[in-house]
Amino acid sequence: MRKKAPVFNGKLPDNEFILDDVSDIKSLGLNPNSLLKVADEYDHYPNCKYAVIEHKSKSLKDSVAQLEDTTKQLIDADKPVDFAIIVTDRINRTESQIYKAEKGSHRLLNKLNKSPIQIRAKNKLIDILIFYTHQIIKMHTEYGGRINQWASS
Amino acid sequence: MGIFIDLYRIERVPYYESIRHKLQYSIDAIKFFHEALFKLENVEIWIGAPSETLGGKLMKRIQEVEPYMAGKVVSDFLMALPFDEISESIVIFNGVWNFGDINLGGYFSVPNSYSWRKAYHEIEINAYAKKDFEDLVDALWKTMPHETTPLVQKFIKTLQQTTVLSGKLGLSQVLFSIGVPTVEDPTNLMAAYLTGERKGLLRIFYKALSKTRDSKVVPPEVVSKTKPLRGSFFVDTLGKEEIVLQRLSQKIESALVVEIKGNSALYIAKDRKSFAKLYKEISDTVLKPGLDKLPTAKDATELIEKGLKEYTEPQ
Repeated sequence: MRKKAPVFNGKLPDNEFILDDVSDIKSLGLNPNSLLKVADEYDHYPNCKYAVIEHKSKSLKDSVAQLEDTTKQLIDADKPVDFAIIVTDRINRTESQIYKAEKGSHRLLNKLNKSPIQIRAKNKLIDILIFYTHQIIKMHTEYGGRINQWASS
Repeated sequence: MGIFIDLYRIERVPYYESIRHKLQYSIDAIKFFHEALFKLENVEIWIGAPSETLGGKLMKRIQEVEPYMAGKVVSDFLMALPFDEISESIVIFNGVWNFGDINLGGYFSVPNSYSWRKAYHEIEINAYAKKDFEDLVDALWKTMPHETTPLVQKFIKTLQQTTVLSGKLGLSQVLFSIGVPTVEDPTNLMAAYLTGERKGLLRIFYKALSKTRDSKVVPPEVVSKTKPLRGSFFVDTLGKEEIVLQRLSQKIESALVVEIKGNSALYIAKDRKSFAKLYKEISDTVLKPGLDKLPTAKDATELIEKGLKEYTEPQ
């Protein structure tokens, strides 16, 4: 089952490109054959922010690689990317030796070099954010009313 | 997540030589899957971390699709690196896994960097998540469920042959796991090759029980009893008890496909829940009863304090 995207400023994405779908990939001007480390979604939020989202991978290392590759290809194709987002159930004990989530900001941090994990593409630095599934469920519950209000307006 | 291989030194071996032997294991593993399932596309040698985003630096990209040649070029390059670079290097053999009509990007990764090796083991073989597949092991079991048992057996045999040829590094364990294997949760395992016959499996389950933070899985008072205890002593003691071996055999046979050869055993899940079921059964029938009469960490602390208070200097 597809996981939900995070809510930003009380809004859900209004346009979602599913990157498993060849027609969606082509409509973004990307080459499906060169996208082997592909993220799951490229979403547009109503506040004009774009996010690349990975929620299927079971490994943070692979999620980062998939977000990095997809973001770089999108930016090369002149598609804007503001955030790269990992949605996961938790950071397991093994991977918590390397990664941690910054409280409040959702930024994914590298514990080895004590810095935020950022994708560099065309001189732009894009933060990788991490959201836990339970946080997203809570967001959808809390902002549910406002989402519906926005969706119906 | 994938296949994770750990090695041990059979005899003392210089650091650079151990890296060469480790590369040989990875090349033999690639050759095993090559053409039929995996196609090598290139090799990357990183320093510090396996990508730029994670703070790594790409030292070399090698366009080579033939595993033996790729291995040779990588080995020559690594052997010329100074110690501070080779000990922080991560070799990634990139390629494509083919499962019928779906291609998944994937890799064979050999982290020499301690921090990355600690998290992702000596050799990691994996595929990136796509469509309905979470990783390589998930894809293998979903696309070829009837062929996984012979495939896993043949793969382990190939690695054992590498051990014979190497003579320096031996196969310590091979885990086939959906998600990164973690000590506290063995339920994602789909197959495991472990040394120490049955004790290998007991060791994995005992570690999981002693490290768990989930009070629904194991009550905190049981976890507390493992704190004053040396794990290897407990597992060795259990492994000598006939009643334990009987209970283990019964439970294992109903949940797993097993093959035991010499001092090692290969356990293969019958379905996705096999290891979870077995972990629960072994915990309930062997580990928890074995711990039952032992003191908790609090009791042990009180006994230590009592002993100290009761001691009087000889007159």
